[in-house]
This record gives sequence, C-alpha cells and structure tokens, in this order.
Amino acid sequence: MNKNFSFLIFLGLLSGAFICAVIIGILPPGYEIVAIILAAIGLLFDVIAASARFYSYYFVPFIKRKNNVVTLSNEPPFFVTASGNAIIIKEEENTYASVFVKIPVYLSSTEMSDEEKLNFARSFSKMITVNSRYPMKLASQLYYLNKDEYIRRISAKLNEVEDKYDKLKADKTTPDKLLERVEGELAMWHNLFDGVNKSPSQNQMAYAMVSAPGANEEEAVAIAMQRAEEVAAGAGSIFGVTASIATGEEMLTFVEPEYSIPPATISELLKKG
Amino acid sequence: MDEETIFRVGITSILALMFASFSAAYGPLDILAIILFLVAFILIMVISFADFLLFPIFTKLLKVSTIPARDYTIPKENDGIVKYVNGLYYATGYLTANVYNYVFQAEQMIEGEESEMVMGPDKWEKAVMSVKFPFKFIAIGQAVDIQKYRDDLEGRRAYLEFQYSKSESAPNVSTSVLEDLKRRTRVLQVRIDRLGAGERPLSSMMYIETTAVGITMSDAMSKLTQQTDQLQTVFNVFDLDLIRVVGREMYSLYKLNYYIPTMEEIISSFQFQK
Repeated sequence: MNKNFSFLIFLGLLSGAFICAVIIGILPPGYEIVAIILAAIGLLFDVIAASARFYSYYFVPFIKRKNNVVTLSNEPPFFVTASGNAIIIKEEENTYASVFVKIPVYLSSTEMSDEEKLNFARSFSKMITVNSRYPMKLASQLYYLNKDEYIRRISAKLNEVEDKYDKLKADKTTPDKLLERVEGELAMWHNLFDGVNKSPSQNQMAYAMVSAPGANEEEAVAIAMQRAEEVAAGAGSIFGVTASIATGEEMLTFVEPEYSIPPATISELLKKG
Repeated sequence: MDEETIFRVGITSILALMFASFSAAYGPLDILAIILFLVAFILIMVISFADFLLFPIFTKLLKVSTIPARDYTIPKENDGIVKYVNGLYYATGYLTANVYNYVFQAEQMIEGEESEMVMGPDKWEKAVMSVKFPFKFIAIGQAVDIQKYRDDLEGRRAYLEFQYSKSESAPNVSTSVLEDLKRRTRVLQVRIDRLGAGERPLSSMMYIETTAVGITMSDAMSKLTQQTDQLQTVFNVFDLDLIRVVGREMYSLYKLNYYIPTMEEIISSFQFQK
C-alpha cells in the first residue's frame, strides 16, 4: 500500500482517538459510563493506528471480508510477457518487470583446494555486490526435475522393443542370437524404466533476479533486461560461467511452486507419504 | 530503532496515556480505565516491535484466512502460503537465515573468519545433499555507498576512542569496560581496513523458502512443517538464526518472489531481518 495513504490512515485514526480524549476531558461529572465507553473506543482507535504502519493494506479487505476470507487480490500474482523472458507485476499504480538469470555453477567442494574454497565463498559476496544501483536476489534452488518427457521417451522405446521382441519370437526363423540380443535390450529398457520411476531426481540451480519499475510494461521490461544483462556479465566474470536469461518453463521453475515439484514426481511422493 | 518507529510508538503511547490521565471523568470506574490503558499500551508495544506474535493469534482467533492472489491462500495460522493447482496443494514456508559470517557487516568476523569461509562450501554441499525436497536459499542484497559507510565507521571509531580515553582517565576504571571498548574499536578498524582493501559494504537479507505438496491443505501444511523443521536441523551447521517466518513478514517474502522493491523498503518491512 502507498506509504502516504498508510500515513493518512494513521493520522485519521489518531484524530479519532484524540477527539474521544477531548470529549472525555470536557464531559461534566456524572457521565462516567459514557467516559469509559469513549475511552475504550479511543484506545481501540489508538491501537489500530499503531498497527497502520504495517497493516494498512489489510484494513479495507478485512472489513469487506466474506465467510471469514480476506481477499487482498483476485488477480494472478504476475503475468508472463509475450516473449516469455520476464514477469510483469502490477503493484498499486506501478508496473514492475522481473528477469531471471541462470548461473550454471557446476563445482563441487570435493574438487577444490582450501584456497579455491575460500575464493569460492568470497565470490558469493562479490556476486551479491555486483552492482550498487539496485537490489538483486541471488538464490540457489533445489528442485525436482521434470521427468515427464524423459519417462515418455523411455516408455515409447520400451513399447517399440517389446513389439519387436514379440514379432521376432513369433517368427520361427529368427536366429537365437538375435532373439537373445533383443531380449537383452528389452531387459535394459525395463530396468531403466523401473529405475527412473523409483525416486525423484533433483537438480540444483543458482539464479539471480532483478526487477525494475516502469511507466508501462515495455519500459519496465527494457530496464529489467538491461539490468539482467549486467548481472549475467558480472556472474560470468566472477564464476567463470556463461550466465543466461531464463525463459519459459525454466523461468517459471524459479517462481511457481508447481514447477519445482512437477506432476511426474508427485505420485511417487504421495506414495512415500 | 528507526525514527519512524520512535515517532509512531511515541505518539500512540502519549495518546493512550492521555486517556489514563482523566481519572476524575471515570469516577468509580477509574480502575477499569487504567486496565484499558495498560492493555492498549501493551498492544501498541507488541504491534510495534513484535507484530509477528500478535497477527497469527488474531487471524486464528477470528478464523480468518487470506487470499493474497488468485489460487493462493494464507491459512488462519499464517505460517505458510498455499497454492491450489491441478487438484493439489503446494504449501510454501519461509525461514530466516542471515549468514552473518558471510556478510560484510558482521561484528564477529575477526577471528577464524578464513577458516569459517573455507568450510562454507563443504558445509553447504553436505547440507544440500541431505535435503530431499525442494528449497531455495535466497540472498537479497545491494552494495551500499562506500564513502557514506566509511564516514559512518570513522565517526563511530572516533566516538569509541573518545569514550576509551575518558574511561581511562576516570578514577574507578574498570578493565572489562576498557577491554570492551578496545574490542569494539578493533572491530570497526578491521571493517575500515577491509574497505581500504577494496571490499564493498553490503546491505542484505537472507532467507530459506521451501515447498511441500499435499492432497489437502492440512496435508501440505503438515509436510511443510516437517520440511522447515528438517531445514532448521540441516542448516544449523552454519550457525544461523533459523526462525520460521509467520504473518505479515511471510506475506512480504512471498511478494519478493515476484519483484524486488528498493532495499530501504525491504529493510523497513522486516523488523527482524535487518
């Protein structure tokens, strides 16, 4: 919520409390019950005024709530741009664009000397201070890989080899050696299919996120993209990797919870409880 | 405590005190007025300094859940944000995780800093390998103006040096006070030296986000609690303050998934993440 609006609410509530206090002050003797009721109302205004700093965004939706549900917004939290390389957020009268930069760091501490470990830890600080003009989010995300496509490919190949095996087996002229080879191939695909379904595969990815406000969507995206390119160049020089701007589903993995736990892994997770 | 907090707490407390001062108007109900004042004063203090204690109680008592955006719900306990999609519930929760040893503004960075940093990648790798569910370790930061920061540090050092010389010449000088002043001056000096060596001061905030999936909202939320508990255990090796973020600050962290406002706005929204 707008800071000025929040301050106005604060002043309004304080004024309400102050008016109650003034009325109590000028009440003639014999109105004790009125005074105590006014004190309760005034103190309630005062307490609500104290909460206005952090909760002014909540006041109106709370008053308008239905069935004990306070609706702050019924809109999706963001929109993906047509080019699929940024997300757009409307916050009050401002438009913000956020862009994500993938930082593929594939290093393991087991392969590093102490000096390399120290340098690597320091590069984290360097990365986060890569610019001083705007804040940046640097994250390392562990997520489940989406194996849908991979499983589909294995399943198709398994079906294909099974058909081939059945045909060869039905044909009495098939040499034993060929049948044995196809049987081996079939067993291999079966093992692969069983193995891939056994446990969810995880991936770890580091990314940076930058945001920029703009008068409109195009302006916000252009500024955010420029910032993202600066960050990608900085990440490249600090970690010695090729950082690139995330797009489409890859970008959504960093934002949407369902993309970090894809449907293919859910049945397995639910079975495990 | 920043100026805005002082102003708001001051003005609301004075106003509350005004109500208590009209004892003549309340007559025999004077005691009730004092009780009302005390309750209001306590509430003002809790709201201003620890609203995370009060807000979840408030929503729980009133059984109020919140919809922050389409498909998302914050249950009345205010300890997670749940997204309903494709017939499943994805509950996301947050833990504070300021890695003091890795940020420039740390006070305890003089001794053992290098060895701590050398162990960092190993600890991180072990921690990640033992976690079997999605999570994100997030740091939001911005380099701060070096000159302004340097002036601030030098000003503080000069003040400490003045205090030291004053304490030294005092008749009943306490060695522990002198030692403490010396230590604080040393910390500032190390930070000034590091600025000279080319390091940039940083304003930062770090936290962990994790997501659990379930077939009902309560199922997803209970799995989320298990995951946050496990993360608290796993990341303990980093000597972090791992506290489950609830209420308003959790909602602010959720919004940081989509856009990053200015560092001042971020810091002013998080009383306990500074």
